[in-house]
Amino acid sequence: MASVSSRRLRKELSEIHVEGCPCGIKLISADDFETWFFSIEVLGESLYQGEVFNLMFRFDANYPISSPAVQFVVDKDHQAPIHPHVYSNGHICASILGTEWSPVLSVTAVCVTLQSMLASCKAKERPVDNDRYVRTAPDNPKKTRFQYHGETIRSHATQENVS
Amino acid sequence: MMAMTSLNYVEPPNSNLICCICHAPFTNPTTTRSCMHTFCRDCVVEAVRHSPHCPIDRSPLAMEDLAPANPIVKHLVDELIVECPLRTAGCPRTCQRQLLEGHMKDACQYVTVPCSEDGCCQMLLRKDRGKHADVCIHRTTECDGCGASVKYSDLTVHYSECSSKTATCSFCAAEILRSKLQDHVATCPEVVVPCPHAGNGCSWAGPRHELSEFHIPSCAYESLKGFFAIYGSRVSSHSAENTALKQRVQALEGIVHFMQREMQSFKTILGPWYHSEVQRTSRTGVPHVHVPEDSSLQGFVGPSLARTAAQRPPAPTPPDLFDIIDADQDTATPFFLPPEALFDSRIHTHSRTAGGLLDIQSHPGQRSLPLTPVAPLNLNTTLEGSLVGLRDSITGVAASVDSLTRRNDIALTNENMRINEELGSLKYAVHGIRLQLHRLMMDRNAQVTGRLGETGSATTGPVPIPVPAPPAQPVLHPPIMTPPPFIPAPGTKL
Repeated sequence: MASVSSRRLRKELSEIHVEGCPCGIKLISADDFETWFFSIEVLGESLYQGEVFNLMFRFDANYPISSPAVQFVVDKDHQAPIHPHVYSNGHICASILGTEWSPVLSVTAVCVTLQSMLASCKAKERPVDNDRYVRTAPDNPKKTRFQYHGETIRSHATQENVS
Repeated sequence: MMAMTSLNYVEPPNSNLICCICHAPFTNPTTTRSCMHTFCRDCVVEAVRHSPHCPIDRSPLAMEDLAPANPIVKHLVDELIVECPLRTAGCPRTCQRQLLEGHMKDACQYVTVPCSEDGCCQMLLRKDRGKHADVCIHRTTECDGCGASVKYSDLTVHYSECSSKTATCSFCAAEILRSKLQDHVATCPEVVVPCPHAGNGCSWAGPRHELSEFHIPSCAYESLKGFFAIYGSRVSSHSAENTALKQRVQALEGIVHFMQREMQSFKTILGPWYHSEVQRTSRTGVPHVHVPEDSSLQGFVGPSLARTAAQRPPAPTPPDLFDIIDADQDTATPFFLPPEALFDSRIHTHSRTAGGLLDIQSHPGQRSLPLTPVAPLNLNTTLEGSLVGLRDSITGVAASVDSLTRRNDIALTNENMRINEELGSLKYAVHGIRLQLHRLMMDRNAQVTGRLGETGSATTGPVPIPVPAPPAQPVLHPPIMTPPPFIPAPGTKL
C-alpha cells in the first residue's frame, strides 16, 4: 500500500515527465519518494546570471500536509547562492518552506518561488547571522525555527530545534 | 474502501475536478463554507488538523467550515471512467468509478477469493474457482454404492464401512454384502459357538455345525437339563426373599439405632438415678439388701426409717439399717468421693456414718433434743421418689429447727434469770466488802495524817507510796460507792 506521500509524489513526477519543468529548472534525479534533486538557474537579467545551483528536496511520509525540507546543495562542485535569505550551508530562510507552507504547493511551485527569490535579489550578501547559524545549524533545515522579516528586512534564524 | 487516488482514469480528468492536495480527482468532495474551495474530504481534514488555514488562500479554516461539495461535483467525479485496478493481472474491465466497488466485490475474475468448500483454505482467483472445485479434495461427492454424499477426502474411509460393498466373512471366507454380514454371522456354520450349557459348566466350544451333530448327544449336561431349570428357579426365588429380608433387617437396625440414641439421651437426663435392669437383677443376689421394688413406697419410707433408727439407742444399730446405709453409700460414693478413695470407701463411709451418729447421741450437754440424722441420698429409687423423700426430709428439718429455736429461747431465759440472781448476791457481797474496806481505810488515813500532817505530803492511793504533792492538796477520801478512778502508776504503759 503506497503511502499518501508517495502517491502524490508519483503524480507530481508524472506531471513533470509529461509537461516538463518550468524554464531554468531541471530534474536531476528522483530515484525514490524521499529525496529529489533539481538544478536551478535564473534566466534573464539578474545578479546570478550564468550561475547554476542544485536544490535538494527531502520528503517525509506526511507530505504534502507537511512541508518538504528544501536546501541548496553545498559540496565541492556546488555552492549556495550568496543571498540575504540563503545561508552558506545551503539552508533557505523562506516562509513558504515553514509556516506559510500549504499542501496545494508542489515541488515545481517551490522551485519557481525560489527562482523568483533569486531573481529579485538586489545585493549579493549573506544573512547577517550567517556565521553564528552555520556553526550550530542542524542537518535538516526544517528543524530550525526561522523568523521571517519580509523582503526588505534580513531574516534571523534562531537555533531552537523544532521537534 | 479502496484508495481512489491510485486509480487509473481512462481519459485525463478535467483539471477542475483535481484535488490540489493529492492531485487526483476528488474523493468525497468537500467544499469550505468560507472560501468555497473544494478538496477530497480526507485531504482537507488532514490539512486543517495540521494547520487551521485553507491550503489555497490561507484564510482561517475550522473543521466546522467543511461541508459536502455540490452534488454535481460528486456526480462528475463518480462518473469518471476508470480501469479495473487488477488490469495488470489481466482484467480488461473499465467502468464508472462509482461502480468499481461492485465490480471488485462480485464480478472481477482476477480477485483472489477463498475456495467455497468447507475445510478448504486455499486462496485462488475467482476465474479459477470452477476448475478448482472439480479437484478440491474437500468437495462433496456421492458414494457409488449407497448414494450418500461424502467428502472426497473421506471416501476411502466410507467405502470401508459402506453397506453396499462386499466384505469377507472371517469364518467361512465367503464374500458377502456388508449389509447382510450380520445375518450371515448368526447362521454361518463355521462360527465358533459355545455349548448351550456353558452357563452350567460345559467348557466345549467349536464350529456351529459340530454342535448339534457331535457335541449335544455326548454332552453330560444335556441329561441334567430339567434339573437345572428347577434349581435355577428355586435359587432365584430364594434370592428375592433374601433381598426382602435384608431390607427388613436394615429397617429394624435403623429403629434400634434410633432407640439407642433415645436411651442414651434418657441416661444423660437421669444421671445417677439411671439403673439398668442388669444392675438391679445382680443386686438382688446379694443378701441383706432390702430394696423394695415399689420405688414410690421407698421414697416415703427412706427418710422416716432413718429418723426412727436415729431415735433409738445408738448401739447396737439394727443390722438392716446398717445395710441400707451401707448399700446407699456404696452407690453414692462414686459421685461424692475422689477416685483414689474408692477402694476403702465402703469401710470408711460405714464407720464415719456410725461414728457421727454416736457423737451426736452421746453429747452430754444436750437436753433431749430430737436428733435427725440425715439419710444419705438414696439412688436406688426413682428420681421422683428421691425428690419426694428429700422434700419430706426438708419438712422434718424445718420442724426440728423450729422446735430447737423454741427450746433455745426457754433455756436462754432460764439461764438469764439464774445469772441475774447470782449477780445480785455477788453485788451484795461486794458492797459488804467495800464497806469494810472503807472503814479500814478511814482508820489508816487518820493514822497517817496524824503522823505526817506537818510535812504536807499526801498519798495518792491506798498504797502508801511517798509521792511529792502540792502543799495545798487536801487529804484524799476514799470513794464512797463508785470505784476509784484508775490512776496509772507513773511509768506504766497503757
